[in-house]
Amino acid sequence: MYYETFLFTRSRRRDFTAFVRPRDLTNREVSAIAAAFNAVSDTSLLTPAWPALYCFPLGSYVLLLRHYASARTHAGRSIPTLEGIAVRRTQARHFALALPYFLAQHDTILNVSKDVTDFEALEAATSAEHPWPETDLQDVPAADVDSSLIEAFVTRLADDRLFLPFNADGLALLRAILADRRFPSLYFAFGTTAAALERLSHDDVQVDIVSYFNTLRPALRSRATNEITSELTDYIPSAPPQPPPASPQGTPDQVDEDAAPLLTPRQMRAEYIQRDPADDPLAQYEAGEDAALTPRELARRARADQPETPAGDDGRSLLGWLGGVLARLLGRR
Amino acid sequence: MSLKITLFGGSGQGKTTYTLALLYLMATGIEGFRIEAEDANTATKYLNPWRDFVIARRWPAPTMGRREDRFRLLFNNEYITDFRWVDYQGGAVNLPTDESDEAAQLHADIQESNAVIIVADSYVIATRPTMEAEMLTSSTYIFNLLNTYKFKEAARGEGVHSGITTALVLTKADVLPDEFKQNNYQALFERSREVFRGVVDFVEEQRARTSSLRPWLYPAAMIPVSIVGEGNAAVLSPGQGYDLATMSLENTPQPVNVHYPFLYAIGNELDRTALYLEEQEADLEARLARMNRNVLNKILRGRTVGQLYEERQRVAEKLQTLEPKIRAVTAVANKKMRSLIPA
Repeated sequence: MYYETFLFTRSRRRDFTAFVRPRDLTNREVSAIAAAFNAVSDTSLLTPAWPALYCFPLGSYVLLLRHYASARTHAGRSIPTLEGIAVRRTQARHFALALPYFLAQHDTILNVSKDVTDFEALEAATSAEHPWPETDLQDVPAADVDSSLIEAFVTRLADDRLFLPFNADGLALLRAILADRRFPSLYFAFGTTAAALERLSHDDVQVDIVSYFNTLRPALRSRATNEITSELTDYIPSAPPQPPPASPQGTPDQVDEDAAPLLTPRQMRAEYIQRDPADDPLAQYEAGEDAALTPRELARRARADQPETPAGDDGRSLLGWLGGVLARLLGRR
Repeated sequence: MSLKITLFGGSGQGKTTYTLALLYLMATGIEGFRIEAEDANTATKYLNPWRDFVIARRWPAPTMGRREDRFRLLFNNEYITDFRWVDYQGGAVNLPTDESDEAAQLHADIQESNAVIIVADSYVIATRPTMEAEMLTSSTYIFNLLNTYKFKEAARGEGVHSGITTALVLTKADVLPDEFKQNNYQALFERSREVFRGVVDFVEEQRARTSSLRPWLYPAAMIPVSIVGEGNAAVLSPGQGYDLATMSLENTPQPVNVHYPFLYAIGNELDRTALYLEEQEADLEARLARMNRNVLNKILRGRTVGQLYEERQRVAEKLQTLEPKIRAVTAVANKKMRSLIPA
């Protein structure tokens, strides 16, 4: 058994590129992944230590990947990275057994970029086939999780999806479920948005376990209607999202006091009013005599510029007059 | 009636932020114009990153892949037209189609588009040597694509009626050196014409009287825009090589001129439709005149004459419906857009 790897990111020189890709992953499939992750507009919560984690089938493969904002920037913006491993669908069952281990070891097994010393020198290449790693489930941290939701999920898997909070509790629950032998291969998106999942579903990619950035408590939701069918009402989030300081739902002691205070609506309005439009050359800008013309205006101008066609002598000569009469009788000019 | 507008440009030129600002402005309405997305989720998808930009002052993440959405344009709540908006990552311009599905789709989208909006960083155009600016804005790649799919096609005599409207959006105009802002941005326009000379030369040649093509089918114009507004962003580092300038957002963004290129693209396409209708009307008129001159025809082909009258009536009605819409859009946009061809 073996697996392949992939690394999708950008450098300053090259836009979003499949720098490393499994041999049989097509351009269309790479494009499907790009379009889906494009719908995750805010990656500021995601770091290599606390990435979003996905597992789903696509084309010939089942992909396990992590998504985070790298420390690299382009035009002042953080560059996102997607990296992970791809296993042939024929080996999906064997892969499912090792999944909890891979998740626990994501920083080594999914960390394809660790070998890249210079992203600017990186050229697109096909992944090598890597031998299957030793997987020891003893290395997977044991999770102290409420079994009632797992029990409910086992019975309702065909009809419901499981929603988990995007925090340490949610990750522990995810690992526990993946380690439960009663489940078949499960696909998940841990740390995502509805728009990303909607985009993946365009390419027939469905997941069983979902964690949106704003999911607060575990629940089962209908696959058809998305309504909650079962909820852990006594669940109390015990672990905050990581990394905590950047979270908009962070507790007061996590607030960065050095950050510039956000403006109140009145302050924002005052700031807006203070600005004098006369100071803004763009606001003053007019195209003037160089203003663009519409196609019809351009056509009329071109016609007006055409030299006049000299008048013929049809009207003056007898032959011309006869020709005219004949043409009119035949209905031609 | 549905128009297709494709937005593209080199990497890091400001496409994503421009799109977010445009859709934010148009969703709420500006100068009487408003757009409605196909569904509420579409608008939300665009508004969320714009909110992060405004409140958290975080530049939106670079676009990956391709995004296509459907909208309706309204003026004073009156329907104008449907349109499809297609947005690309910068890399799609510089990759061969066998390496990237986005590149393949971009080529197809350009072929099908009524109008293209090209986004180019005016700071790059103003501050980098010409050849570097050409490469960073991808102007040469862009000309190559337009030439292959729109210009050459017309030169071969195929699709002579198709044409395309080109709007060049010069982003980041607020941080331009002062000399490029003077004289109504004259120096910027001159530099932009130089950097995009492939497109400029083509459109200019088509406007020469010797051309067998119909030059008015290739309207092209440009405009400097700012997403953040004058004095609201600062250049932290000017950039070098592949590194583009890094800018910080100092105050709440106030987009300026953002909606004009979009309205220009729509207005010109509606006007082009009207042009075809006028030509159709003139042709019908000529055929009717010929029929009416001949008494025998009137008797033998009375039915045909009646059908031609009806057809002419339908064309005239379509034109009548279109006229106020065209006036509404072009009256606002065209006075701001500067022709790509120097006067």
